Amino acid sequence: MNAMTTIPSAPPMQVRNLSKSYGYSQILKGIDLDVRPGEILAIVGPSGVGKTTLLRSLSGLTGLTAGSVSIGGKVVNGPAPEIGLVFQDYRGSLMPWMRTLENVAFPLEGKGMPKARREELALKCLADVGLEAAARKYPWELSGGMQQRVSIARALAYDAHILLMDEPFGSLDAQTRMVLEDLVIALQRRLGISVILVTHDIDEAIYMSDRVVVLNGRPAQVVDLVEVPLGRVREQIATKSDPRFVEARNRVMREIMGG
Amino acid sequence: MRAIPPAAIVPIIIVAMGVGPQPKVFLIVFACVWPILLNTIDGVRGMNPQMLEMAQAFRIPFGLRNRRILFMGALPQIMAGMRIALAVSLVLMVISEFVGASAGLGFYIREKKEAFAMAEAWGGTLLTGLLGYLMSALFLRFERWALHWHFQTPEPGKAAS
Repeated sequence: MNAMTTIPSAPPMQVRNLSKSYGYSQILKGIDLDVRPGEILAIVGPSGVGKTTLLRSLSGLTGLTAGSVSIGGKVVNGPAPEIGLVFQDYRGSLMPWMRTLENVAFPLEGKGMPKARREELALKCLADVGLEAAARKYPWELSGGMQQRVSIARALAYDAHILLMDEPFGSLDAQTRMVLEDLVIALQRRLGISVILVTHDIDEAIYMSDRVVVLNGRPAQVVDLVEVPLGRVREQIATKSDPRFVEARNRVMREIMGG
Repeated sequence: MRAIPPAAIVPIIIVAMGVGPQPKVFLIVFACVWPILLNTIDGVRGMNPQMLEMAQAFRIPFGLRNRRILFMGALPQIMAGMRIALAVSLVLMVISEFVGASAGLGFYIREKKEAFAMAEAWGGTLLTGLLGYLMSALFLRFERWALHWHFQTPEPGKAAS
């Protein structure tokens, strides 16, 4: 469980005046964001607004039309080693020909780490997400929730200080979802990583995050930045019935629906 | 080149390369390249783009990505191409031995037929069939072994959750 104690506090991430166009259609316009070290930042917005485009721009998978993204004061172009990506479609991002352990260890092979060392680290990260027993299994032998845990373990093993998650629980059932929400919160608290979470689920965004960025408009802009006043201890029932939770949710909902 | 049925160039190749194993090998290679190549292209094109994005996001080096992701992802298709090529290669072996060879199964069948030794001709024919059957059975076992993950991966949407 102390696999990640070596992770220093996450570097801050700055987004300045980010714009993104595809051809003549502008998707994102003038986005400014500061991701504080060790926070969970949720990005919400109506469907099709450009949440995923923003996340892809932050991850370096797609280039920017204008503006800049910097991590720890350094401008990044392309995928940065500090960032670990967790996709929504776990089936398409885990490789069915690799066992769970190999899937988690694979990015470390890309870093040139020796086999024994990367397997040891992968096993520790699997333990972090409660899956050490599944190390020798194939992804297709695991449930959807377990596969998504493997994706999270892979990002942790990669030594990501900033976890970028694109609708990570979107295709899971409600119970599994809650369990994984709590798992990500617990991992953040223990490891001190930053998490950027794109979700269409407003409740999930407020429940998990310290701040919520609301995107709206065409092209999309940041219309609100909500500080979630719920402290750092979250609990599925108590937190979600807290009046401050309801207030924050109503505020975000109005901004999205009334956009 | 691909539009030419390989059997149609058998006589030309034999005239050009003479009698012996070389024209036979050349023809088999010529005929087998296409199904394997086209299936490989198909397999690479049909890959889930997210796997390649994953490789990009985790900064997997080019060579490692090609070996462990692109190749493995296309392997089911590559294997399918090889299965076709295997059947084609047997056909071409026999045909080229009919036309220009001094040894081999095809040569044996033709020689016995021309000597009206029908029992032997039939024997050669049946042996060819048996050879084809054994080759494809062996290949199937190899394929099952190499692609065990592929045969057990549930169809998308059918995965347990």
